[in-house]
Amino acid sequence: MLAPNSDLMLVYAAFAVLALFIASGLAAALHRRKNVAFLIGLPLLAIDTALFLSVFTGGSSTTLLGIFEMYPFSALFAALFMASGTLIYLISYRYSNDFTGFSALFGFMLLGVIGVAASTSLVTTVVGIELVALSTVFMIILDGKSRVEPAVKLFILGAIAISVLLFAVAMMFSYDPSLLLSGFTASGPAPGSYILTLAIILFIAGFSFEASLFPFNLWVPDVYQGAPTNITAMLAGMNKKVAFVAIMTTFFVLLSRYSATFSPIFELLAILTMFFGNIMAFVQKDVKRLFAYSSISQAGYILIGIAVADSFGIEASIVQIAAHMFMVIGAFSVVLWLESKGLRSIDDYSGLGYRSKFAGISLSIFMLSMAGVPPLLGFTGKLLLFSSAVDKGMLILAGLGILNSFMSIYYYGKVIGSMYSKKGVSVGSGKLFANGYIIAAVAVCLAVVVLFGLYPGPIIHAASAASLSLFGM
Amino acid sequence: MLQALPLLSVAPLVAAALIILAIHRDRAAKYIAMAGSVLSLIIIAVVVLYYVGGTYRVSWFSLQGYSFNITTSVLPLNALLLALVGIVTPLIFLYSFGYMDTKSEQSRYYFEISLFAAAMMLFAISGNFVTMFIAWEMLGITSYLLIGFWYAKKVVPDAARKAISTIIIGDILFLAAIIVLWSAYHTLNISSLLSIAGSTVYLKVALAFILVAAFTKSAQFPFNEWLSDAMEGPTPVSAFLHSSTMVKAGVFLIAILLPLYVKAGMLMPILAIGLITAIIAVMNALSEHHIKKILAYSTMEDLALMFIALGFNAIFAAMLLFVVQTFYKALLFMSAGSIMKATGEENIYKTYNFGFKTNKLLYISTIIGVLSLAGIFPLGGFFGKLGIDTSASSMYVYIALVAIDFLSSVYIFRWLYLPSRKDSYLSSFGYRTVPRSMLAPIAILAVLVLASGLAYFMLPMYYAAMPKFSISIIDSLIETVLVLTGLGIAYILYSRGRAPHVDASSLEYKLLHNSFFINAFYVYLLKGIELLGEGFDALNDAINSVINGGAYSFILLGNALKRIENGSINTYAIAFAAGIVFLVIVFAMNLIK
Amino acid sequence: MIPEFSIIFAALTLGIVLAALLEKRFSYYIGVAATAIVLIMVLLIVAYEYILGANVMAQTYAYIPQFGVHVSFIATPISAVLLAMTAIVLFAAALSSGREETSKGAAVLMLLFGLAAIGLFSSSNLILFFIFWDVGVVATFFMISYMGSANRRSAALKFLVYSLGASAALLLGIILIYFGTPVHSFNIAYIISHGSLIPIGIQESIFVLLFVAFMIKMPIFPLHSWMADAYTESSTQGSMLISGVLSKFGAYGMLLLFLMMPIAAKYSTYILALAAISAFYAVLVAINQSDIKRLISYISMLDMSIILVGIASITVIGREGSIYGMLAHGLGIALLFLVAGSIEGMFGSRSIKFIRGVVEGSASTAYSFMLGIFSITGVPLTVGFIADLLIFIGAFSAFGLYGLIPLGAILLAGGLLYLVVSRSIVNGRNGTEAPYLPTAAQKAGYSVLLLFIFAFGMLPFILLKIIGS
Repeated sequence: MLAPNSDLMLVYAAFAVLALFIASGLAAALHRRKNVAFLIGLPLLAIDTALFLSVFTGGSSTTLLGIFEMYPFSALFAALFMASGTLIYLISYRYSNDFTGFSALFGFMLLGVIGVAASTSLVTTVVGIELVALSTVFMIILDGKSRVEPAVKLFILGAIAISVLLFAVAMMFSYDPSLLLSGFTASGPAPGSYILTLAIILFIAGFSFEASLFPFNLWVPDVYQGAPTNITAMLAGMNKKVAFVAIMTTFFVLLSRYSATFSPIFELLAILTMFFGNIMAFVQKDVKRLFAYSSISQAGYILIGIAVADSFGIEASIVQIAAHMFMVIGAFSVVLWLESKGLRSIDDYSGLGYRSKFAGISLSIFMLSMAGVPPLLGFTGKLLLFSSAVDKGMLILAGLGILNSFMSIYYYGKVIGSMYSKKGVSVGSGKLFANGYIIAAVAVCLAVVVLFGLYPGPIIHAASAASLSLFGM
Repeated sequence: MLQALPLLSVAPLVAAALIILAIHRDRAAKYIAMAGSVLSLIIIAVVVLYYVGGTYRVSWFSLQGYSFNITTSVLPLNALLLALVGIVTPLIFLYSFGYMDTKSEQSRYYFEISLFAAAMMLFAISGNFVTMFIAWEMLGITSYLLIGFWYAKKVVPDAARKAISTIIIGDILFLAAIIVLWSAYHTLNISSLLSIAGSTVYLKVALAFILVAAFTKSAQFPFNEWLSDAMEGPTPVSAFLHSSTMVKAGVFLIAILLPLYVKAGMLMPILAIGLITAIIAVMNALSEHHIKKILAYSTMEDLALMFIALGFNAIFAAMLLFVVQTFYKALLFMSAGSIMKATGEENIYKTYNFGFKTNKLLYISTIIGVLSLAGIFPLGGFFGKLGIDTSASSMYVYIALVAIDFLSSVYIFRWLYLPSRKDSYLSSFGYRTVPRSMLAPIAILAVLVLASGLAYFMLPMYYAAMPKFSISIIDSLIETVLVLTGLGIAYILYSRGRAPHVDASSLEYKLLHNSFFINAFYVYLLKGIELLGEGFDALNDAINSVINGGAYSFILLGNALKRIENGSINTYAIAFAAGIVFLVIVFAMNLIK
Repeated sequence: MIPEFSIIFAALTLGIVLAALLEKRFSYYIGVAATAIVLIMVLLIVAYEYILGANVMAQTYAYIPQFGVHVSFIATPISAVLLAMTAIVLFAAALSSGREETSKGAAVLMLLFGLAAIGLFSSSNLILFFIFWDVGVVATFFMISYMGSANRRSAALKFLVYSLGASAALLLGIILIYFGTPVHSFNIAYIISHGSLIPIGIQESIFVLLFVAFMIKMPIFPLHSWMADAYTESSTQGSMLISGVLSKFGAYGMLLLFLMMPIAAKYSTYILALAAISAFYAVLVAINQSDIKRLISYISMLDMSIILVGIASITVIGREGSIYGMLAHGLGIALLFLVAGSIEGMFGSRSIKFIRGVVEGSASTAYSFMLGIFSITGVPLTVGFIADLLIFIGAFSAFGLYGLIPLGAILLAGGLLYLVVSRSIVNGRNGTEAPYLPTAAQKAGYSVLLLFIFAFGMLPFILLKIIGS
């Protein structure tokens, strides 16, 4: 094994590689060298994934510059985000209208993501979130004029959310001017304090916007549908997960003492979000929009673990976050490719399974996994989530969660049924062939979803280590 | 291993297997079947003569430590039935040689009838209810196949269906009885069950089930309707079905279980149903036109008479009729088949010229059969009917019985006289062409009928357990006078060319031929069930739509919710604000609590 | 020792992969070969258990070690019978599908479904049970929506909606069991032996949840609406597998539920009443059906209700009877659906009003139909007799004469089926000639099913010895 100082070296190396990626992205953007950016950037991201993964397996805790702390929880998420970043980078190369600009922004976006995961203070968290949100807005705008509307929506509503968050931070300042995440538990007021309760409300509202929880999520489908699909994949696979990481660090490190106060709220939000996402997904005709609602409902499931508010629940949430990350990126990769062929609505997908086996099989597997059909990874996550709720005695939450989980199969089934129906094909006909980037990204996602579905031991183990480290155990 | 010998008597089973393996050779089928039946007759002769009383069992499967066996036993009653089946089977097969000559599908016919014979033999030797139930079901199914043999004819499938629908009631009840008996006594061995002490509710229930099952097989009221329709089957099958097999199974079953019915005090229903059926049968026989159906109603009457005797606990009388009826009924059916074959006509009013001159052997044999059925001394029928009459321990029943005897004499002579009328315009050539293979069994049966009176003397020699009834002169005289009167009336009414014709629309026909409206009852019952089915189908659709509606409500809700998603940034911002207010309210409520 | 389970799963997985990769013309042979191997292995398991009286087991890797869940399989006496049934029906379905008619998708889905069924019946823990359950649901969904007839998509969705309800209840119930057992466990054998230690209140919740789940799958009135559509709109092979095997998912689960939860005894009388209502309901609805596959569907529902009678009796004999009943139902209904499929192929219609004179066109089809009826109505020497006998002995000892009431429904079903025979199968008058004849493959399917219907009917001691041990 590596000595402690070599752990430190690994952390430095990881951040150095990230910095290198940002630099290369900026350089490429200045010189408009798309291919170079991709050829340098992709290996860097892959290497960084491996580096963060080894930081995680090292298991030690390192503080960096006083604002970042790498401990198993943050290292695991850093690795996950890097992995999903690699995949998004891969699919964006071919389909982004301004790939060099995208590369430059993507670096900052990743910095923000890692910042949130490794945050030690509220300032880092909020800045990280803002960095992520702004980068995303510009990425959408860069894609072309037609993208202005979703970008503006995201920008304005995001600004409201951030201001709400900052307001909450300001309230916390009155209790602990250092704004450090740890240490507040000892100095904070007793549960029930009005100011603190208001702060909690504002935190929840602000994060709920980012994490797309009902009723703060009405923007989600519009933006998901309006944004370029590779960005949609990023929104669903990364941005939203970042918000969950922020919720976890904020509520279980900073506010862990008040779990009795916020847990019922999260329970309520989880139920509302699941139902909202699923019921809306029932009536969608557009595949991208359908996935938007489906990922809202997935956010509801993830919230179950947070509502349970113990290490088991967080462990379950982490598994589900990882699972959904790969499922949704994989699914949107296929959707992205099909969109470029002109296939958008469920009706367009009619007979798709015969036109492209690749699309038929991979989309089916992703959707089945999202619906929680065993033995795919989505099932493992949900099993853990519902188990954690039952273990905590939250039977209604578990029951409604399970009900929703199976309800969702209905609309996934509709898409799958359409793909394998023999009715007339409306948009074009003949075989469709995917390109290497899409195939590579989808293959990685499929491998994760299927292999870890069959053998989820390692992923659960990792989630458990991360969760325990979050609780300081 | 000699104990297993009775099992070998089901040799026709082997024949059936051989036939179905050689299914493409229609010609070989009849010889294989015949060989099987002769072999079984030999084995049966050995068994009946030397192995009476033996039992043999082999375990089939076991349950909870209790064994379900295949048991054979050759107690006197078993031997009696076995002998009858053994004798009649080759005769029927021989008759089939001639009767089924022009028909195709020989192998199917001989396969089915061999299986049927084997089933009856197995039934005869079964020593426990498991074995008996196997044979019972085989009988039902093979009889179904045989009745429906000419399925291409329009009415045949329905006739077969009617038979099986009735029989299946008995099958299910038999199964229920087996379940009750096994649960109550943990044995299904008939001899063990006969020796159980006391009568419990469960015993009574099981006996009731068995009784109804027997009534379905033996076509007793209210399960009598299938029997006349079953005449749609080939005539050898009818002859077989009505003489020694199938319908006799019910009587036989009650006969061997009679001690239990006595113990449980359940003789009354047997007697009552027997009487009702006998009356229905006679009335129908008097008004029927179909040459075979008259005989079918006569069988129903004979069976009813046997049940009446059983109802008086007069087993000897019942068994005597059981034996003699076998021969004369087989003989009469064969005669009927020959007449049908000769004239191509089934309606006795349209049948002419049957007489001594047209076919001596056939005519004499038929008269012997008719006289025996009517009950003329010294033929078997005389002893049989007399036994039934004398068994009646109630005066009213006795009167009813002699009245039935009288009426049966009328209808059977009607059956004889109508075809014997002369019509010089019609050719009588057909009677001479009846093949020898059909006449031979008729002749053999005629001899057996002549000799069957001896059964009255021989049965007690073999089976000491049966108390013989004594013949009183007065009873004999009453019977003989009544029968002769019946003969006279029938002669006056029916022997001339223009016999009184009972139209299906006439009042007499409606009065006589209604079976107490049991057929109409079934028609309405089936209508009712069909209506019920329609109702349930509608209910099913309703349940379906309720559940579909429940699922669909989610979609409606989704469509309603779609309105908030209007793309306007204002709405989203307001929702955001509303969310915060909502959270505040929830928290406030939590805090107040 | 031969590693039977490994060979079974390897054969099925390999079959799925090969069928997916190779050309269509190989699909039929791959399907037949894989299912034949499965059948041989399952018969080996049965033989092994008959001779040695010990359970065949196989254990592989830890699936979710945190929950103590291993991927391990066991052929308990109950599963041995169901495995035999599954393997036979699978083989018959594969064999009868025909070289020309078997598409790649059909072969893959059939083998996937087989994998799910074999896995489910031999699962040693509830998580595996649930996983295979859902795989079975998914495979079935595709089977209906991919290979069915005209209205297959709506039938598939309906099936899916019901199955989801069942799966949801099942999953919640399983999680409750896990946290209810003193030592948190998903192990079926452990739960059966320690089920009584679960607090009564939790047991009640578990019982209600699982009962509903299994009721949907069996199906039992009033949660049966998916059934007729799913059975009717599937392809012939689909109907055989769904009615013969998938319905047993529910029945097997129900049996386990009654073994695991002692609280079940409290409700047994109500469940008997429900089963009896369901039986009569099924047969009464069947009367008015003009679609032959729909009619058989309701007959199938009737039989499942009878199986529930055996389970509800909570007696050893009743339970053994219900196990045998599952075998009988699987083989008999698969045969009837295969015959119905042939008839549909012969006339191009499923309407009883249109079908005339099957026996003229194909005697083997007509006789197979009749022999199928014999098994359904419990004629001795068919497998159905042993089932009915045992079930009703159990029901009688638990409920007295009331337990025998459902026999009336069997009676009605018998009458109804013979009516179909007389009106359609043998009635040759004023009808149409059958334009097509059944294929040799279909006839081979009949013979496989009939062989086992009579083999297990005449030699019941083999399986009864295994069940009894």
